[in-house]
Amino acid sequence: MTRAVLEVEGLGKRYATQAGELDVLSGVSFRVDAGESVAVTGPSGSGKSTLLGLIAGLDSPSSGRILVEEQDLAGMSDSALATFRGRRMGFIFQSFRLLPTLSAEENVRVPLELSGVPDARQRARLWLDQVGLSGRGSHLPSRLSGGEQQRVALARALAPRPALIFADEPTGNLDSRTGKEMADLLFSLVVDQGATLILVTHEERLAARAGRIIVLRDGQLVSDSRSAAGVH
Amino acid sequence: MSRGQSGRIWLLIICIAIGVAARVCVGSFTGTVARALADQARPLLGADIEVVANQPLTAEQRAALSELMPTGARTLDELGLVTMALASRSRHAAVVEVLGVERGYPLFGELRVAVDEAGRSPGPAKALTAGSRSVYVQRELLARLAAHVGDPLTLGATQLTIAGILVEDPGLGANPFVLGPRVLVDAATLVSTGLAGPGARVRHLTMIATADPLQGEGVANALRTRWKLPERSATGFGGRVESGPGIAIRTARQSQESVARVFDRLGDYLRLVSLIALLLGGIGVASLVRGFVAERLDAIATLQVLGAPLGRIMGMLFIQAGIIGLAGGLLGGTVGAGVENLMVVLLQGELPAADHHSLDLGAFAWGMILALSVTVVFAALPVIEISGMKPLAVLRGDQSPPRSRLLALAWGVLAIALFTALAVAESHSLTVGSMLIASLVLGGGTTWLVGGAGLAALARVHLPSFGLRHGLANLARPGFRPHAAVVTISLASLLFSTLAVYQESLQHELGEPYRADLPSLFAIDIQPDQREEFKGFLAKEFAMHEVSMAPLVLARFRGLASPASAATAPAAGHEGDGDRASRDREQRLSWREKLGADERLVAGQWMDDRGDRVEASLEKRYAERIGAHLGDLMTYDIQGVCIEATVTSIRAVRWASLRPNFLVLLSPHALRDAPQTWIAALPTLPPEARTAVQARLAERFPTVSTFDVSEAAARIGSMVSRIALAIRFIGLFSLAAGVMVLIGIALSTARERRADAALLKVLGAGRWTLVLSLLAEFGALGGLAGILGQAEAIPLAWALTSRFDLPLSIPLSVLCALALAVALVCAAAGLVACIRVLRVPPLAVLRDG
Ligand SMILES: Nc1ncnc2c1ncn2[C@@H]1O[C@H](COP(=O)(O)OP(=O)(O)O)[C@@H](O)[C@H]1O
Ligand SMILES: [Mg+2]
Repeated sequence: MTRAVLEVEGLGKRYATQAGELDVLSGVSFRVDAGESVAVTGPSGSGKSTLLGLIAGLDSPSSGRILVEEQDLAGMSDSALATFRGRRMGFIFQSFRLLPTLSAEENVRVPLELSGVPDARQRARLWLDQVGLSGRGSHLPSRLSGGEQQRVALARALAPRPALIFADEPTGNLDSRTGKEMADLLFSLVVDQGATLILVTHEERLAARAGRIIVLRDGQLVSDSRSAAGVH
Repeated sequence: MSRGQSGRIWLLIICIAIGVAARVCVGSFTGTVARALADQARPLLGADIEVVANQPLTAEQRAALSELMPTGARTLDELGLVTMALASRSRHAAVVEVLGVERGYPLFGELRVAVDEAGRSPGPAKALTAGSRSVYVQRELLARLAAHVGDPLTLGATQLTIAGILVEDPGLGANPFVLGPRVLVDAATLVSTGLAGPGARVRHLTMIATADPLQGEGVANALRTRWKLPERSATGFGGRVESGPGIAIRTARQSQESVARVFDRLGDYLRLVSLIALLLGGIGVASLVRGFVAERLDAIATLQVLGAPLGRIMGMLFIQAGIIGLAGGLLGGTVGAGVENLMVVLLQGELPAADHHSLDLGAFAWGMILALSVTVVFAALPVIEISGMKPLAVLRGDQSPPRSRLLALAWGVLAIALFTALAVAESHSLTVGSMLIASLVLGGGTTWLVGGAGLAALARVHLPSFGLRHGLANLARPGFRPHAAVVTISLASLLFSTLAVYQESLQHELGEPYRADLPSLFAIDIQPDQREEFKGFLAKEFAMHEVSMAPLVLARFRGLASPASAATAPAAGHEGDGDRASRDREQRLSWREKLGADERLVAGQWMDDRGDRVEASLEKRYAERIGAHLGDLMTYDIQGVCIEATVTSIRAVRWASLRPNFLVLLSPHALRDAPQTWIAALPTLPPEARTAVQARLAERFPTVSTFDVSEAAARIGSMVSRIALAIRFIGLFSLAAGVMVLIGIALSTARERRADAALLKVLGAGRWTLVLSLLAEFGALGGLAGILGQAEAIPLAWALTSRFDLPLSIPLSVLCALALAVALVCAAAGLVACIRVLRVPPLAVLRDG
């Protein structure tokens, strides 16, 4: 039997706005096994990023429960969560989010050093090689193209060997060719690692590459289906 | 308006307010100190202004006087002359200075006389009326004449009666008698002696008291201009005017000149420091406005696309800057006035005039003008820069839209011109003002370059801890202008430490520890053959072994000649801007075997007494005033004997030591046999002992006069230590301005910092890592700025101390401590500025941008 790396039960998020209470998410439940790749799709504003933020422990839910590797996020302090994220989770964002003052290699090293990995430098170099950026390690983000920056972000996400990789619209800021290259690299490396991928996207072509697709609409889970690609 | 934005507007206002507060505070405070000094000087001269004339004032001159007299001024006429007084009983005679006064004498202070010859139970001078035919005399005269109170005293052909001795006579303070003790008599009685008749060498004094002690100087200058008089006039025998139209004007302030000059310069200096603090605040304004504009580039471009002319948008920004400038001016003016009041309260007792202290509206208004101009000029730079902006480029997301370099250059030229004008106005000197701005531009530029290199090096330092390394790397953050922060902080710490060094020197020079061995009593008119006896008496009776004595030879200065200009014409030579009036005047000469404790050579070599040549050593400022240089020949007439002396050294003298020091020292061999008297300075004594010593000396050496100077010494000393407090306040102001700028510059990158902090939290950074990163970044920045500032403080402190004639001592440990303190202050300020940033929820990483 496969181990559940993520369990979400009756998850809800409510924001107080000037127009009154707003339920951004409500009653969302699903379970993800280790090694799965799950695409979360839905129209803009449907609550995809909110869901991602909650399961990564970046925000706390208004209702429901989240277990990551059988640990309840609600019971963890901010700093314990930060440490947990640094060790067990990797992130890729639409706008790359590299630290502008650190070189590519240093950016990859950030989560390794924060979680006290001893051979951070070699590991960072190795991962830059893996994403095809050997020799660009000393460059600052401002000297890299968008596609290159996103590959650095991928190396950074994968370097600590996390159990879960979160990607929020990873190709959203890339042109279609670079976007495809990026997606290829993402899927192949994640599969290589045996990590679990939670991929938020509104692009159907990209979502279709995941083994499973969860669709949100107005904060509710409206469909959860396995795709053909999901058979590895 | 968001909370962050209103916070930034406050910061803008504070940036400006600090400099204005410093300026208003300095303005009011120097005004208060000047008034206090003038007030203290009043009783020394017995008036605010003294007009001395060899002839009675003409009707025309009287008209001019009353025309220029401010409302509330009082005047009093006096008549002075030097004559022989004869004690009819003992048949002894002595030279005396007779002063004939009118009812109302003295204008300031109190006249107190005593019938008792030891000066016990003094009271008002009742016998000073037209019919009384009585005089009051200085106690020393009784000794010289072997006379007593009640005895007859003959002046000219008239016999008068000694009604008592002068215990307190305000007019005596300015010039302890040179020719003889004072005889105070009613003016009508003096006229009746016939001594003051036509052709007599009389001086006619008009004493003037203005309502406000600070008015004196202005009225005196107006009178001098009207009568075409120099600021200083030579007075000769009996105090008569020996130059120009036979009329001279002295002010109370002149009688305290050295102290007044120190405070004037200090005022100039502090005004410039507050101008710099204001300019530092201006740099803060520029960086804040730049951040403000950068965040609104999108909105501005959109407005432009929608048809709003850029000129109007810029106009709006200027109006906003103007409002902020005015708000900063108001806040600063209020705070400055408050701090000044606080200082005056702290100085109570030191400043006798503190009670008629009021807010200096002039300083306040000037502060507003400064605030407005500095804010608008500095806000203009980032606003002007967007004038070259193409809205489409901005909307496309172009990170660095083209900026207008030419306009920025024009701005620079205009700004420098404006600040030079301000600095010139503040320092009352074209040279000082333009030098200041030039050295600011030069020093700022150098700091910019060196600091930039230092920052780049720091950003590349690989520290083992991620937090520390990330902090240092952040020094190279795009859009961040740590250069500007380094320049401002180093300038601020430069000002602070220069003030600290200066204050240290001042304190060392005049403060408590030094005062411990200041003299408290002076004795004058000691005859050469009394010297040993005098010393022995003090040693035996009071165990006083360290009495410093110096000889005094009265001479007349006949001329100065430079070997370069060949001619040896008396009172000619190189005139320069020297004081012509000091030619042909009485000069006290002295000699000493070696340089005194309060002197140091600044040029030439100490005299060699073995040869035949007569050498002269001049005090630095005196030499400047008369235009004398090394190698020049000075001619003196000592009771008919001419002496030519070559200037071989120039000395800086610590006058405030109150020990006997002289403008002119000649080779001992030239003076040893000249007619001379000796003066002695007695070491510090407790108050009771002082009166006892004075009484015993009066008994034993009746012809020797003693003066109690301990109060003057104590006054100067405690004033100095309180002034030091004021200096420290101003230093803190400039440091605060620097810190504000740092916060402003840090906040200009708040958005990027927020994003980074959120990301780092997502990637697993705890709060401590983020705090460490901030501490490293701002601590390193501050440390760099601190070191640069201290390094620059050394030449500045040197320039300053040499201008004030203080010996320079560089307290290295203090400077190191200050650099460290600057680093800590910056680290703390950076943390405070950015702590809100650290509270960003990690979720923010999924939102915006
Ligand atoms: N802090 C907040 N306060 C109020 N509403 C919010 C907040 N954050 C997100 N929302 C709203 O929640 C909804 C879902 O947002 P999001 O999860 O970003 O959608 P998606 O990523 O699917 O485009 C949106 O309508 C958004 O406006
Ligand atoms: Mg989203």
